[in-house]
Amino acid sequence: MNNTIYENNIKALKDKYPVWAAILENTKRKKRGFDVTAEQSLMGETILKVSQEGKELYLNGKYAPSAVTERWMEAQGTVEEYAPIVIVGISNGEHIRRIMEWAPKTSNILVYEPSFEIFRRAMQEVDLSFMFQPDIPVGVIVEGINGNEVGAFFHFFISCDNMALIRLYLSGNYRELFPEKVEAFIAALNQHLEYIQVRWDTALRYANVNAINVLSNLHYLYEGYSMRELYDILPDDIPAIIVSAGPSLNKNIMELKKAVGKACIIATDTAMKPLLNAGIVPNLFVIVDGLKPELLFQHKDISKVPMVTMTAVSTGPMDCHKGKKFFYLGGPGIEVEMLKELEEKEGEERVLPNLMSGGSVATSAYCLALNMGAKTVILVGQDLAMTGNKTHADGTFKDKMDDIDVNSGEYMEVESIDGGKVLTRNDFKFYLEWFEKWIKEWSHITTVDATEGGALIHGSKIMTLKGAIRKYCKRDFNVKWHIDHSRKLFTGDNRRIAMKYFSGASAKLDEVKKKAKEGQRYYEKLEKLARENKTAGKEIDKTLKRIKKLNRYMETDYMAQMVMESLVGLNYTLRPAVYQSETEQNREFMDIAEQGEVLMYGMIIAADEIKQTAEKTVVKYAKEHPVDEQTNGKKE
Amino acid sequence: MSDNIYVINCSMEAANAMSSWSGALHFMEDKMNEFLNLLQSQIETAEQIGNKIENGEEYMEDIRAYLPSLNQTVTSIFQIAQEPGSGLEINAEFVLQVLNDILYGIEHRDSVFLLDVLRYGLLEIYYYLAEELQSGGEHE
Repeated sequence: MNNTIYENNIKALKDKYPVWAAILENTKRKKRGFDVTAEQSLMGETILKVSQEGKELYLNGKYAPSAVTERWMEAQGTVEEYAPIVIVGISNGEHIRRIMEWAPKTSNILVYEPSFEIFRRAMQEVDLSFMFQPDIPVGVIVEGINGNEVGAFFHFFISCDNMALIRLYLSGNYRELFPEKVEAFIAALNQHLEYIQVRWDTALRYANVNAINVLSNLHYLYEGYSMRELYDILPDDIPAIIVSAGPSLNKNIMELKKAVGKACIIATDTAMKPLLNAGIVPNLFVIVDGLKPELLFQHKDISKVPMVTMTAVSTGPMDCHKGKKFFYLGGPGIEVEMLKELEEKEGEERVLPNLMSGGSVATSAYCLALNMGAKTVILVGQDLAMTGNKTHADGTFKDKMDDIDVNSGEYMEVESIDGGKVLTRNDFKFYLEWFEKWIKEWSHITTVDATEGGALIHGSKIMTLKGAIRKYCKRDFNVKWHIDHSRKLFTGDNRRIAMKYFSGASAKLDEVKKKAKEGQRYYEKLEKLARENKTAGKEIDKTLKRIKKLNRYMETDYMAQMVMESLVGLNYTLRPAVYQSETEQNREFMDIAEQGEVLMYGMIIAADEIKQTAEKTVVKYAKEHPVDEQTNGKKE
Repeated sequence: MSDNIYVINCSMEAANAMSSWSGALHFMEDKMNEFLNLLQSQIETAEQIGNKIENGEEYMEDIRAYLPSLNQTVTSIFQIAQEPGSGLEINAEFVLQVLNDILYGIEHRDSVFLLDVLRYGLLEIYYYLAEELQSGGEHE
């Protein structure tokens, strides 16, 4: 060990991550059959060699250890500003140092080291202090120290703005030495990228309807409940049964009758009609989609079942359903503002909780069950595949569902629960992987797949529904009583808070429109100055300052955010240009001005459209339901 | 007349001596050219194997098959270097180190190590020799 280097490294590590330094200093264990030694290259650089169960592999070459990094950098070409760079393997650190020097200063660099032993040896033999300096855009993950933070780092470093720019560097022999860890890391990275893409596609898909839905449904929130009222109501021995509308539901739906009153039955929106038609009334049902068709909810008994929903879901189901509604957070905006004010007044948590979603209503229902306190979750109708060449159970979208066209090219095979193969499609496969990931992560929860068909969900216990009910639904429990004793969000005088926002919506939208018009003028001024080549001086500084202030307003004001969100499609078009820097400053200012003008114009139009909706919905509701004339809110 | 014959005899001797010297020179030149051609093909092979390793393709069979040829080439390198007038300076220790490292890399199936020794060990030797031979071994 090189004591000077080690002391220097430990000092830098202590300053940035004192807990890591403590772990490193106090961990004396040595992994059996695994050794890391330091040697010198022909040029005098320290290189590392790993011996793992008799096999020896060098992490760096002996003749020109840095050459491979230079070749990689050359192959990358020009690296854009803000491009995230992911490096697998700390090795002797030289490649990290070199990449940090080469990458733009705006790039985030994420370093993943799958071996604590290599990290320890590297800290003893090579100068890594540069990695632990304050205020550098470098994140480090070391298995055995903070390996569980991979997801958090991905969220922090990689977003929809920069995901297309990502670069990956795989250090020498890491895949050979740690195949599972490296593959798992890269799989997690790909999953994160997929997740961002799905979120972006979802945002695009719902952009136009979001504002309409939120404003149209806001009065239900005013009359409704927070999902938080359902938290922890289930004892440990009472399971949750998530009923989805996969084709296999046709087979075992009647079996569910035996579970009524002995479990918390949570249905997905699509499963409601088949359940009600079979005479089974679930305890709750979940809806997450802003575009779900009303026909799924057209049933005389739909209002008997409390709905778990958000303001952004489609108005049809919300209007069809006259029963209790429990809300989770749909997004930033008017509801958050209202509830923040309510929270300040009441001195307790009132802002709606998030409902973690894996992208589907079933994954959301699963998360709801866990929030309710379930330690056992039984999945029914969770095919995640085209069982019997159908997408859903009969009685959902149609009384008799059509067969799929298996030759259309959109389906692929996955393992089925009976050991064979079954067809699935991309979105189902995404949800399947979500279930498998979280079943593994949340290992304290027992997940039973009682679908009796469809794709194999690794990690779940495969049982018949009859068997699962016999094993887990052993005693009576009155979920309805707890639901019936929930407290409404807005009661008594606090209802004025909501009414203030409802009646003030039009004026607020006028304010956003006015700001957008101001913005238009500023961007036009910027364009003019750029054309006249006046890209330095007081005038342009003043204009840029005003634009910056305006942008802050657009990013933080709740109504401006709602208007901005409705322009996601426009943003999508403008976004790729965000990180393209021009060599000439006035050209850059021209581009900023043009894009800004387009966006502000869009904001003006959108503000007007949303105002029309606001006047037909929340403003009208406030006029028709003045607080003084309402009965006092009572606990039901 | 006898003087003239002497002169002629002397001239013939000189001519014979000159012709065997230039013959030797030609012989050397031919040998060098032949060796240069060999080197070019060796460079090509080593580069191909290096590219395969870099691209993650199967390379072990190719490099094992190359070993006999590599052996012969190294022998030729030492022979040529020992030829008077070749002008080639070889660090025998370095060449042997490279050879040993190639064998080590093959034995341990260490692609990182092998790629490095091929590109910055073996090919460096080849490039040096090729450059020297192409420049005619002329030095200031």
